[in-house]
Amino acid sequence: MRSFIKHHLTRFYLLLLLLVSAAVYITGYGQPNALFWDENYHISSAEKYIEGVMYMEPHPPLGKLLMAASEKLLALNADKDKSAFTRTDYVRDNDLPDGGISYYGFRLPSTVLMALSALFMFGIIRRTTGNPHVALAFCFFLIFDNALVIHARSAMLEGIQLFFILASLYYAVRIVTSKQGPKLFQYALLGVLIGLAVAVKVNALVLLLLFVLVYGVDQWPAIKAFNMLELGKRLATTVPVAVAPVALTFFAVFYIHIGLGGQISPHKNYDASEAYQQAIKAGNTWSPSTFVVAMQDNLRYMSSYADGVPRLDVCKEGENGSAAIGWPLATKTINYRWSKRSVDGTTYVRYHNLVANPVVWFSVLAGMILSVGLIISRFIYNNPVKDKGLFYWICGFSGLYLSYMTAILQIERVMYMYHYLVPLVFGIINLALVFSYIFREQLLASSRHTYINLGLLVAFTVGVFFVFAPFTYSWELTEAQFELRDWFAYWKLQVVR
Amino acid sequence: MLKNIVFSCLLALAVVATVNKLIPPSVKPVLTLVLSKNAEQIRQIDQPRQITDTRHLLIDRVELNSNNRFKHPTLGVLGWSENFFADIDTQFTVAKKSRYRFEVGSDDGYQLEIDGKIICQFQRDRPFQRNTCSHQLSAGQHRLVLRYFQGYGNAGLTLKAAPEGVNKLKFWGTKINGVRYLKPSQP
Repeated sequence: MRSFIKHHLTRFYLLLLLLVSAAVYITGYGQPNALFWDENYHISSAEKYIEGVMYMEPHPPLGKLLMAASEKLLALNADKDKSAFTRTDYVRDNDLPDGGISYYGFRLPSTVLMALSALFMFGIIRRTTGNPHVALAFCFFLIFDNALVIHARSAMLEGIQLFFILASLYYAVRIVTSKQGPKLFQYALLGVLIGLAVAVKVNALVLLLLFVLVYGVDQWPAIKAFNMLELGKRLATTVPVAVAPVALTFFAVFYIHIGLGGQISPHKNYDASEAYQQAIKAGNTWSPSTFVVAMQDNLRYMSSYADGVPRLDVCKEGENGSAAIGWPLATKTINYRWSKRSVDGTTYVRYHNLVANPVVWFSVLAGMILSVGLIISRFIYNNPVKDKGLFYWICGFSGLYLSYMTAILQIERVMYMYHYLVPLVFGIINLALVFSYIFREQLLASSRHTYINLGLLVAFTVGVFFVFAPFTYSWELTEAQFELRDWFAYWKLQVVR
Repeated sequence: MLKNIVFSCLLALAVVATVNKLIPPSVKPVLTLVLSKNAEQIRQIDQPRQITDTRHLLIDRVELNSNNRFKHPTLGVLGWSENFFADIDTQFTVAKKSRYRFEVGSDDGYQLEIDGKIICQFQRDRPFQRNTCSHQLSAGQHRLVLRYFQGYGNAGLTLKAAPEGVNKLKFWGTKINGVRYLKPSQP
């Protein structure tokens, strides 16, 4: 029995992760049975694909295309008139048909793909640390983070994007850790995966750094020998082979987006050019010439929309945005929606609130501080490195985290705490690597104390997740129960009375 | 080995801090506070009560006014959001004869009674306001009863006191010159 478990340990862990992840992410994801946050936009956009109405918006189309596909496939609202969704960019309650709609279709891609992402996370950590137990433990950080769970259980883009991001990371790690050196087709396939992530939200462009990582491993002997000719020759082939699939995937998704837009909505033409509007009226939306015109219109619309987004105004009443510098400490929370009832004078409120699992977020921050310290100690103080492989992976994932945050800090428009979910995922992987680096000897010696500590950390993470679960799953809270969860004033949790 | 111990200690600290955050807070039991939910809307402090639910709490001081709520600084929000009475009945002794100043802050109405005599009151609802009144207390045992009601909207109740010659008023329940609180009745 023992040898059977040992032999099938990875499969057993994957199955366990799948079950736990599904239980946390998928159970009752149709609730709340109401729109919240950006669902009002995305459901409107997804419905336009179903009804063949052209639209443009600031984010690339893949997320909404998947929402439309699942809504169409599940057909849970087949008997409902949702045509009002196509006459607006922001669905309001009075646009909903009588009795409302089911949200299971629209929310399915984000929820399911995020649940599946845990498998990629396991693969990434197992391959980089070589330890399946550590990989399993840190996957629970992904599964039991309240912010990731609430945001993924919705018709929003982050859950879908994180799936493609983790797929890209996994594939990059797989290329690097495989015995044979990176092949050109692997660069191309990685490009496709990155292209899919970018086709959901453009902030996934940070993943282009993965090419640098793969190239660095690919050409490590030439880099060490400073063989510029060899490096240049390889660069001349890998850059087009890697970048072209990113662009092709991105444009292919837009091709479908443009092709499906067979009518102009009566409420808005999105400043589409005359040529594009004529092509729609002529029913030529799938033609390559229409694509060229429409693509330019879409890019122009995305650019002008971004210019119009206001800046962060912390003095504004009800401002939900926050400065990126505070995200690692989980500020500021967002009350997506709430409902309340009073029984005998006691108010019970269901909050649907974006709030972090502080164990996960603070640990990630601690991991980043430790890894920056490690990198400084190596490159500034020339301290020896005890595990080169882990050290370079730590450099890689810390680099991704810091690059993303550096880029975000340059953006002037208002941003929200959920924009931190991408670097949070980098940070969780980095944390697993830092843990493995610090406890390298103990893990190699299968120290029982180390594994008990790790198990306790996971149990603690899960426990704190359930403390904040009422905010994630809209469980009722009294004011006193709310206050027990209002741990830090800077989170700016807002009680409803 | 050392690293494992350090990690265990950090984990233990984090767990203790978390549990500490989650344990409902407690204070020194000095005064008994009785909260009574009324079935009907309360408009006046002395209207007939139709109690549907009662809660007994032990508190350390009458400082129940934070963020416009019936809220203790440590215990948090107490009572209900609307239509309830709060009663504080204190047995105390005074060391030597003196005139005492009392300051009651309330949103909504209240009655302050000492040894069976109402010394100040505001009968109806109002936003949070303070009233000051004085009363001569002889050396020996006395009884203070503070009645309060919350109708609807914002809420809050405070009671402070000080003997003659002392400027700074202190919350009832805390150490006040010459006053010794007798053990409160157990809820």
